[in-house]
Amino acid sequence: MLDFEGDKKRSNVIILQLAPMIDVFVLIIVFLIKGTIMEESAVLKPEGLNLAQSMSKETSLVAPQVIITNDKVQFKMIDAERPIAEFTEDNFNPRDPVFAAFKKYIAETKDVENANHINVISDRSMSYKTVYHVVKVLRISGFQSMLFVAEGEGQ
Amino acid sequence: MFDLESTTQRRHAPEPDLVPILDGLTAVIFFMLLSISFIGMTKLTIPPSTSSVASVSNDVPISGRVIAQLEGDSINVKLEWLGNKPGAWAEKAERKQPTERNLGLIEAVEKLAIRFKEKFPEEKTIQIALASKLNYQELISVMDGLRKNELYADLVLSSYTEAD
Repeated sequence: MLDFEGDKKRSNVIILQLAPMIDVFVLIIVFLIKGTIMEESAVLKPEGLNLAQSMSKETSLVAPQVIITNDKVQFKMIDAERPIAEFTEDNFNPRDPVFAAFKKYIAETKDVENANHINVISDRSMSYKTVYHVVKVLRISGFQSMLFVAEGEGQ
Repeated sequence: MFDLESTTQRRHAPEPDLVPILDGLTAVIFFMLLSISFIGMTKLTIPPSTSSVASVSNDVPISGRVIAQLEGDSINVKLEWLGNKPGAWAEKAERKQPTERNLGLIEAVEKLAIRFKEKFPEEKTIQIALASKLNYQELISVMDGLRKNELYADLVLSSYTEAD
């Protein structure tokens, strides 16, 4: 009699239905995967660099970066840097190995979108003279368009 | 006896479990819906051919140029052009610290750009030359003034020697 009652209680235990739960989770995973936007960060602001302020609402593009800080110019795409003193006058060495590296980079990335554009990231207090000399070196090397990076109103 | 046998056969007939099939199909429908991208078909219309006689133009290119020069504590912005009837306009703006946007400079450049656009609506490109001592923030402000309201999209940097 006691055994019979125990059997009756066991038969009333709630069983968790796993199949529909897994189905719903699969749906959620598919939804999340498809909703994810994978995007490369266009600009990484170096520490200690103060960007200029702009009214422009344009977004930045993913392109090779050149960073002009108060003491050096970094050419990120060829992993090279030069002291800022080399750009304060119009006398950058035309035989500098960066020219050959730029040409090689342009040849290697000719099919890549925006590879011949440059994101120029400069400190806001940098003189126009220095910025112009850096841009001149890049233009001589074959880069077609300069994108001057600044902080927009909405950022 | 016959009736009993037929009842037993009906009970053993396979019944497909529809619930997981429906769940699977719903997942596939979601997947397909989210994978769809709609692309508008473009229509290319070729205009009828015409012939015209080309004439050699003696017009000098306009070559609009914005020059920003330092004058004490202020910035003198000049917009000059060549063409058959060259000319220039100028505006003044107070110089500010590079820590903030120079709204006065942006407005001065914008004023000049609007006048230039009204005078030469066909011109798409404008050159910029800043004095060597002006800074990157001021370059961005000049560009802001020229690009405001999509006045000029193509900007070309000129040497500081033209402004010094």
